[in-house]
Amino acid sequence: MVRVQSRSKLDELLGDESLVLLILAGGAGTKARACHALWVSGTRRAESVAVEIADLTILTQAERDAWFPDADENGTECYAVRDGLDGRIADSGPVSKLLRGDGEPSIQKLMEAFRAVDE
Amino acid sequence: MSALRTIVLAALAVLLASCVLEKRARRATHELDRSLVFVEQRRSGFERPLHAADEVPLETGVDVDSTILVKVDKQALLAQFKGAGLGTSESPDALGARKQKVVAALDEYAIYLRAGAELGAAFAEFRLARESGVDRSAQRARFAAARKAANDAEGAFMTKLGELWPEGTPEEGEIRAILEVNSRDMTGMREFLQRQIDRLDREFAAAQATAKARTVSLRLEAVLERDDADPEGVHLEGYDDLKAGKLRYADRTGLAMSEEDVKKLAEMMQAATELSAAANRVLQGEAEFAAAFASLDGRIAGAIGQRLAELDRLAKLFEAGAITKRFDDGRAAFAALAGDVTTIARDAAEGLRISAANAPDALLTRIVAANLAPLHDALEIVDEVRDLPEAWRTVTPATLPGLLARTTGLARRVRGLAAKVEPLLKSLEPILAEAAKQHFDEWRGLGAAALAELETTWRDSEAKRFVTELVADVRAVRDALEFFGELAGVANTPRPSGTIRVPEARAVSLERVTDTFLPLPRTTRRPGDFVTIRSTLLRHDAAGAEQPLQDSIASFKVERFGWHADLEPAVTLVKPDHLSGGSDRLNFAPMIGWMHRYLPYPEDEDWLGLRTLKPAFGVHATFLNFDPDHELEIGLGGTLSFFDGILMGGVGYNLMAEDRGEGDVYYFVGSSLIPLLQATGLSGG
Repeated sequence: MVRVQSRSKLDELLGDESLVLLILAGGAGTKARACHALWVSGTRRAESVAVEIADLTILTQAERDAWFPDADENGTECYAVRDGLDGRIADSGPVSKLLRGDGEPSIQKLMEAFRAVDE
Repeated sequence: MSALRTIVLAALAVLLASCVLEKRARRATHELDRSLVFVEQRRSGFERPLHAADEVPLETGVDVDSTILVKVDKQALLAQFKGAGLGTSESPDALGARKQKVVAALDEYAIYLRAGAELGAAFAEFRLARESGVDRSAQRARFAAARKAANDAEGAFMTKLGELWPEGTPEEGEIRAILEVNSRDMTGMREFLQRQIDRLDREFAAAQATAKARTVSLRLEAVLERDDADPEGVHLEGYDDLKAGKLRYADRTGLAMSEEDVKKLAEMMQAATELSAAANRVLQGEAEFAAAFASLDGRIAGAIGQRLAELDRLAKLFEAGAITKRFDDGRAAFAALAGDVTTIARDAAEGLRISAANAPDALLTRIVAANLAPLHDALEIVDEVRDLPEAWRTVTPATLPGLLARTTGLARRVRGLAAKVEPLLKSLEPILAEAAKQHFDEWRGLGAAALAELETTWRDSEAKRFVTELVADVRAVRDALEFFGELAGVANTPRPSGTIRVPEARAVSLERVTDTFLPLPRTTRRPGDFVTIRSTLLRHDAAGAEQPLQDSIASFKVERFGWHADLEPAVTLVKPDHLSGGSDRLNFAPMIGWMHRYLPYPEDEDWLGLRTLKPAFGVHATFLNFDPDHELEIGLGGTLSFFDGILMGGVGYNLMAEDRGEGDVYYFVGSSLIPLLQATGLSGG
């Protein structure tokens, strides 16, 4: 449930094997940020954590390639789901997959994204 | 004996008329008629359609041990209501199914909560072990398993919610609001699901009421009718709450008798003995016909005796000159009445203006002619019946066809006799009184005293007595003709009414209609009974009231086809072949026969005329009285009969005779008691 602006915080989250991370790439005004905001507004399962990274430059190239394979040069408006138990990226794709038909973030789709680690 | 001969010949005439076969089906008039197919399934399994495609059975014969299959063309019935929006009731079922899905979702939610609680505990334990730095492989495994179980439960539950309430529905908006607040415990989800269940329950009840209002249903009612007992409803599988009876096949040997059957047979044998004794008294000149039979006691013998005595009295009415003299006496009585009325009126009418047309004698003639004309028409038929026996007595091959046609035509007109005379019998006197009042308008000036004297004169007149006795005799003749009709199985035979309802019948909605069946061996049926199956299409309104749309009545007559036998008591006229002393006297004797019959199945050819002649053959035992020295003489022999035992004859051997001179061989003719009992209204079967 954090907005990551520093690499150290990200490393802390990546090192916790009990957490499932939903990593959203986007900044102010983006749907990714809107999804993150929706997620943090209510009570969630403790091991499910949504992380918004506004500045992708804090990621290594390898991480960007692994986490956001379909992303453009800036990697904006994408998401990735990471299983802390084995470090595997269980799911990734454009943020549009997490939106409703009216273009707003869907809580049901965010929940579905987190479940990807056990499919 | 001439009276007896008249009776016998008249019975023969009506009997022959009964040989005219009547149609046993009616044309289908609407879709319900055409949608029902009736098939007879015999005990052997053989199936036979009971009617043609565009017909409905009407007193169609079915075997006493058969099952009547009723096949309903549901699609044809539904098709005629489709355009009107009637017929089906799917909505309540769909709502019921939906409610089951919501209940299942509620169960999934409970499973999810339990999995979530386990996940929370496993997560905390794993975290603690990690922070403690101890070996956490077990906690890790527990956490991984709990996380998978919780994800699976959440996925199953969310899928169910998505199926029930897709994106864009108001309920999906409610779900979203719940999840956005708390997607861990989903607080408020249980209440939401319960609200949906409650709403579906309300909608289900409302949809049921609406569907019922739009539903057309079919009610089938089956009734067993006979002429000597109350009608009873019988069970049609799936269409009523009646119970099917025990399985009882008809006894075709005639020998498997219950205690009640034995009592009945003993009573009939007693009646045959008494009737034979009475007939012997008449034969030997010891008593007059009417006196001998009218004095018989006993339920059966007494009833038959009374009937025969009455027939004898009526037959005497038709003897040569009797009717002519009677009407001559009647005309004289009316002439005398006219004279008396004229005298009274003239004495009182001095000073009054009476037109010639309304002069007393002319007026009376008009009243009688106008109001007694129907009675005269009825008596014309009676006159023809009187002439018929003589015509049959002198029949020749050349006159036979014409006589048959005349007899058949007369039988049909006889059936209209009661309808013609009945209204007249009910209202003859008021008709005459009213006519007199209308015509006597001119006579009002006569004064009350004169009018009172006129009324008294009519009341005490021979003319009035003539009319009263004539009306009573016409009624008696009508009853006698009905009796002969019953004997021959024609005219006024009780018919199935088709109006009797079965309170235990239930209407079945068209979509649930199925074929059904009526196994006759599970009813109390007897040969001669009628089974009526009444079908009604009903529409139900919102208040639950029923409106009949179409009605169809099919009727069946229970018969015994094929071979069967019966024990039959009879009254016979016996003649010994030879008696010493030269006295080969005739004697009436009671007899019991074990008679075997074959009634062809409807689909079989009847080149022997079995259905018309109704023959039977068998063996008999009879109680003879050739030798006064013998207290008891029993004869055994063979019998042949026709027309269900109305005419029988045969030959036998006297077991008590020691030689030919004692009447060892005898011949006989006679009649079974069974048709007589049925015609008299006593149970004969």
